[in-house]
Amino acid sequence: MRKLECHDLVGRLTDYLEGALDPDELVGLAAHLEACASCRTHARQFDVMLGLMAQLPVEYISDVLESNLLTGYREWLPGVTV
Amino acid sequence: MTEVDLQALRRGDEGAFRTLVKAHHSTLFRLAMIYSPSRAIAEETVQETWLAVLRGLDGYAGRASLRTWICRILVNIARRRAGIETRSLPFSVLESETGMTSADHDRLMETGSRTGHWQGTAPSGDWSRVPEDKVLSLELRAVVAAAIAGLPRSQREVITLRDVEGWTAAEVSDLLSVDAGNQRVLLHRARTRVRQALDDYLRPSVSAA
Repeated sequence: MRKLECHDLVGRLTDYLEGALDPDELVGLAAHLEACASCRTHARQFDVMLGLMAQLPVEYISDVLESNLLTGYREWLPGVTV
Repeated sequence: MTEVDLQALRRGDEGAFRTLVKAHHSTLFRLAMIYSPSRAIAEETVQETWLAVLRGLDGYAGRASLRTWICRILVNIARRRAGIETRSLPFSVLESETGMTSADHDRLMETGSRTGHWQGTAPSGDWSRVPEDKVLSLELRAVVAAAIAGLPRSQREVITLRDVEGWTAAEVSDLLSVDAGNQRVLLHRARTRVRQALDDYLRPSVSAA
């Protein structure tokens, strides 16, 4: 098996997280992370980034849009067969 | 949303309609922003989507989840409004890029016996040394949001649904008609750029620490 280098790890972190590595690659990646502090730093940054993206503030509906949608709903109703 | 809720909509239950709209608003608005030059245009797209959802409600067969069905209507409307051919190939998949930014490349040695290793000791800043209040700040989330907004469209679609909205790979493949392999490529390129933007922003604090 070819030894896994930093650029392999950098390029395949998402494949790893998605479970898309084969068993050989998985072993190689774990061994490389064990040995390489820089890649561990890189992987930690990935984690922090994923956490931030999952916590972006939600978008709230504006009063204008909500009111427009209720109007649209009321206009739609008479044509509905329950 | 259950069959009962659909019946509530047909009965004229405004509360049920409001609940449905609010439950999906953030996702729909974020998706709409991908194709819209402004928040106002994105709002129009969301509005048009809900009217189309109501008109098409009888045709909803329950094969897709309601969320996927509504989002598919939105994506079709948004792409049409933006003049984008819905069935076009996601061209960014075809670009000859690796999952690295040029800055990543610069820090990895290109030649010599240690080909592919990081220059010096660190790939980039060790963010664990960044003060916690900065990591938790709204400012940092704004950096992330701006980085996502600056991505090529197909990368932005995938990272928004997967990492911001928390959809599964299967749901995203279903909505965007992109296969699992291409989705991973797009997701990784997108994450690579967002990580880089964060690192560029945080590096001064790391150096000063």
